[in-house]
Amino acid sequence: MNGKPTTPPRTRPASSGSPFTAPAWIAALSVVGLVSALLGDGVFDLVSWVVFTGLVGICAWAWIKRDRR
Amino acid sequence: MQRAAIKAWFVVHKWTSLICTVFLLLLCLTGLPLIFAHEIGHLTGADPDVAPAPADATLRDLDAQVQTALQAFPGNVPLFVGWDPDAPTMYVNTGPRPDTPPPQMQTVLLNTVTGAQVPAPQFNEGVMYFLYRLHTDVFLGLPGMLFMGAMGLLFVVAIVSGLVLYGPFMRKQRFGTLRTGRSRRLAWLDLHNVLGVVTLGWALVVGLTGAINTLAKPLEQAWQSEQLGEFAARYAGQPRPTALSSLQAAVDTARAAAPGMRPAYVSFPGTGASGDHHYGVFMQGDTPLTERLYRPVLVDARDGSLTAQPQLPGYMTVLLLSQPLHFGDYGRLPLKILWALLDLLTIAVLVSGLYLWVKRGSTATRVAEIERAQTQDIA
Repeated sequence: MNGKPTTPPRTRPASSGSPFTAPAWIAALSVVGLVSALLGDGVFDLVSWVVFTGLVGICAWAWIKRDRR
Repeated sequence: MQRAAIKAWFVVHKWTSLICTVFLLLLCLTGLPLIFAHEIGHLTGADPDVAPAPADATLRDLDAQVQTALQAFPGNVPLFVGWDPDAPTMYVNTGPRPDTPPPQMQTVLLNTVTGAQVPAPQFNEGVMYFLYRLHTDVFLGLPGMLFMGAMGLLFVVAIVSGLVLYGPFMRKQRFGTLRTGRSRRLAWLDLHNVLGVVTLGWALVVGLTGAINTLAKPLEQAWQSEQLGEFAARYAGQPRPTALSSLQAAVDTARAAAPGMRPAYVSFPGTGASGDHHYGVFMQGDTPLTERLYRPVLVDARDGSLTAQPQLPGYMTVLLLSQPLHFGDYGRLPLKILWALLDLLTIAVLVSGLYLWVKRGSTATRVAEIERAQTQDIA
């Protein structure tokens, strides 16, 4: 070792695949959420609530896992 | 992505966003309480709570109801009547002229069984109406509304161009990357990207349906001239009838013509909703979808005969579907709360975008920043 402090790699390895994979899934789920409650009550409402709670949850998850370095 | 392409998309994103951001902030802020208009109305008494009527109660005759309303506003003419699906109340909009626009309407709320007037503030007064006007037309009528619609379309272009730029930015980053420990600018940029891409689908639909809703008036006019034009020959040269046939009979006729549906509201002749010669009885079903896709029944306002049950043209269906998708009022209170949260996240996207513009430097610097992001590990 040459005495220099070892710094951790500053980014995680780049994820494989397109940066649009996750956004495409999110957009598709958003459409399901938007349409579902229109089609009926009860379980159709529930699907919409779950989808949109998921979207808010992803934002919260990104904030909790934020990289403070 | 090539430098020239990045630059072009960057310029599109910058300018479409800049022009619409201040209006979008206004829309998001005024829209927030409007999501809960129904709940707020019940809390403030604007939407009074009326005890449910017994199931076998006989409803008061509609023509008598209209007379009661006109006694409250002598000299006015009836414009619209409509029913609350959740309470035994109905409203009667009146005004000095058949084509009185909503801001000048005078409304009476009546018990559907007893005919007693239910004390309630006018819908076109008060804080919520003020917010509604700010949200829809900034008090400028149709031009204001169309202007807000144009801002909505710019918002859609800003979202699409933002998504295109998201690609090169995130090529070397994991989804959800939020780096808060380096420059403040990078933190805001990551936040803008994460929140922007998560709310993208919702914001696109709410933005686009909002823009469509601003076309309500022209679309309704187009529908009338197209649909009612079919009967024009029959009524050619006839003035608008002054002595109208019975409203109760018109509603009974419409009910018989559309079994299984209930009337949502009725337009009087000359109001701009059913031509000069007809009652428009707008029937609704009881699912979230059929509740909003009104089926009009046109009843001759002179002799009370059934004229037609026109099919709504495609553009009217699009308009009627755009309303719930914009308001978020079709999945009970939890959907409204989520609508509000997504609205707040959209505000965060707008504010972070504004911050990035204030701290922008030159376009060349920004384009170089995006170029670096797609080739290096560290932006």
